[in-house]
Amino acid sequence: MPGEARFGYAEAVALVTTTIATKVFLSYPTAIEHIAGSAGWLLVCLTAIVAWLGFLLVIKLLERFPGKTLIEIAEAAGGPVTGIFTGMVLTAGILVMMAVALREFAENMVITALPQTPISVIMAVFVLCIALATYLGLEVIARACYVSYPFILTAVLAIVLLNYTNFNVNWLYPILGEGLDKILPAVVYRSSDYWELLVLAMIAPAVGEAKSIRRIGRSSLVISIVIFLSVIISANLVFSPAIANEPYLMLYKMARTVYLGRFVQRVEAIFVLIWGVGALLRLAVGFYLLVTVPVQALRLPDYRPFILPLGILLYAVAFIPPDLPTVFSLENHVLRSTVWIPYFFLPGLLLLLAVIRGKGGKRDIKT
Amino acid sequence: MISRLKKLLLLALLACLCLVGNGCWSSDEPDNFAYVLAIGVDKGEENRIKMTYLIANSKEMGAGKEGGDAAQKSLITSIETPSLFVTLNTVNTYIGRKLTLMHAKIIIFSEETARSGLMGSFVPAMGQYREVRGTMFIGVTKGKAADRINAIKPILETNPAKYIELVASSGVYTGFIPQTELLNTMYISLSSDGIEPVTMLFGPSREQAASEDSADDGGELTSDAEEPVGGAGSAGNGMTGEYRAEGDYVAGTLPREGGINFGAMGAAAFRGQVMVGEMTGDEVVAWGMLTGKYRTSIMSLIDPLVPDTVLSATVSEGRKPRVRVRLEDGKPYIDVEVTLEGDILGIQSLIDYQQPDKQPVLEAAYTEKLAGLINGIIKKSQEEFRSDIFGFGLYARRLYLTQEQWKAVHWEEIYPEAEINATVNFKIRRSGMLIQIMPIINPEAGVEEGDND
Repeated sequence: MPGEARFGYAEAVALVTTTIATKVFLSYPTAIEHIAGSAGWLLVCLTAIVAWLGFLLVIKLLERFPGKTLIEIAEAAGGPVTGIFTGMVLTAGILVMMAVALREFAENMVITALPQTPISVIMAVFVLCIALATYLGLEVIARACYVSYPFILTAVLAIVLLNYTNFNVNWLYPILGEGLDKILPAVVYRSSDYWELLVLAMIAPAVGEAKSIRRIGRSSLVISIVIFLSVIISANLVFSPAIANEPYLMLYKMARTVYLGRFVQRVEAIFVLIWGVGALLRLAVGFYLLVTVPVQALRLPDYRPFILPLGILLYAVAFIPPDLPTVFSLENHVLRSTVWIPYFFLPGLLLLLAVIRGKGGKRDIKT
Repeated sequence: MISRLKKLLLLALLACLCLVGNGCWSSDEPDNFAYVLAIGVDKGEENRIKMTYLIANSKEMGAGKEGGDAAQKSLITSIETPSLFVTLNTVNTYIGRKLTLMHAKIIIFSEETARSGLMGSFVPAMGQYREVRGTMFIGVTKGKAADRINAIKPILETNPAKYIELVASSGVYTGFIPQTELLNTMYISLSSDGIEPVTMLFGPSREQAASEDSADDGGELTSDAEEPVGGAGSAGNGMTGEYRAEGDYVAGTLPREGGINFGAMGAAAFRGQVMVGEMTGDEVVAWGMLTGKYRTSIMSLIDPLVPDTVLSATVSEGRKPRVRVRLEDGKPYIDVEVTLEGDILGIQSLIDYQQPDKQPVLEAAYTEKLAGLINGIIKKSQEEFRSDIFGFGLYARRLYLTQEQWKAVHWEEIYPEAEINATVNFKIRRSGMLIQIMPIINPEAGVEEGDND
């Protein structure tokens, strides 16, 4: 349970950044290019600002209920029914998002490295690994994120830098890309690209007080923005906005584009390995939440009995999308268009409820 | 004890997972594959296209297999099929090993397929297949692509793949073929407004070209091997042969003897997905200078003070070209400033051009030649190709705020009417190993020892 784990600032930043930023291995860059064209950088920055505003609501909530997880806060603010309802809504949301992420990572493994391997086997391996990580607990996952974090970061930045010979600055123009009329409406709903900041509220007791969570959130957001901007801008510089729309796996395609003479080429083999580790860690964090959130909502003593049934459920749900285009559409058109709603409204409503009912804060502590 | 047992079980489980994940379905033995190194595409006679594959003979190319018969290093086969990728199956019916494009270095299209637009339509489709790399070289050949692939029998290299990479990369130091124009770059140029594709041009030796031309009506060898193709450097000067600039040739016309019946010289220019013309080596040099892709090459010049002799210098890019584009009443005005540097290699006339009064003369002569080349290819691109092969349109993108505004410009339509002003700055920076040149003593002409005025 989150309350049992303890880890520091660096581990927490690594965990949240890994959870947010591993999207660059998937269809995130392509989706951003599709909306904004050469102004992808603008969309990344604006969505991050909006996401930070949403996170400030979370911080306010955590300040009011120190040492509690989001589910515990919901229960404290609105009573047991609110706690259970919030837990169930979050569980359902995390299940769908993790199922889509699992399917995406598995599809990508088929595309990049294991074209002959049945996707069912790849997904089974993923599920078994993340189940094992969840069994070992949040602290192990956080420390694994911390250990692998420099490698993942280096791999991403190396791919970007090794492509410098292919950069053409002119591809960053027209400066507003597809135009503000297309970018601005996307700013709010694409802020859900940072919904993983909410993870900090779900594991709050493990990472500390609201003040340090705010610091962790800020650092994670800044590092994630740097990663996103590096990839989005370099994708434009290398492929042009017209072509950057196309690849399902932008970063993988960029890795395949590295050609620095006869000796420095074909670097994607290293990339696939690191990408696999990043995928596992992101899925492990998601699966841990999937298992612990309902346990907290139902006030059960141990989450471990939930690992097997929810693992099977996750595996089954991940098979529902019939094909890769559907997975892409689910991730970028359905989920991203809806996740921002709970991201903003859940902390907002809980805060409102707490204020109306006079729960939390110094007054509540005194009483 | 129980905890230890659990850990052991977990480790065993992880080990099994690794085996399951990596070992079974997607495994392949490297010696089960036939590695394609080069692909040729021609129009078919019995089917839509004719594909030619140069497949590495890994047994002959392995470590310690230096020398030997070049023909043994690779297997070449052609097959007519309806599409590119189905040939991977059909060739497997008789090759034995499984054909793979993982190590394919180059794809060469015949001029016929390039001019018909077939080549342009192939390029996007190729990028979809996971084995095809965007960093593959791409080019057009005079005559049949099958003949060019058949001619890849390197003598100095054990590995045909290395030979292909070295030839295709030679533009870095010759300037005669476009650099960095790969499958990816061609695809980007095909899909984006503001730039049109250029690919390297291959051809046979001149003797072979002549025989191919006479033997095969479909050979499409359009350039006359005996006549200069054009270019600002062409001039007569009373030497043993007529002076013709070293880059004033396209592939298949170079006056050479010996060597491999394969070469790269010049480029094919496209408008959209259709090849609309070809460029000589010198024109590619000028194209490189305008696009910022030129690095260095050795360039000859008729001596400005003694026109009977020729001198040469290494001409290098001083800095990236400065391009400014503006539109007035829908007409583009383009200013390009090209900055180059020279290093004198050899002066037959022994005139000491390092002297302060003579250096400007040489710089002016080189500037004139380079400006001629640059203006020549600009004119050709506007009048003959009607295609922005330099990517000036990319600079015009900066003038617009949104993609919609930029699309409304229809750059490809207004480029031929653009007014382009190219300026060349050429400075001699060095003079090889010498700081000054001493003359050959000639008492009859009054030239004495140490007299280099």
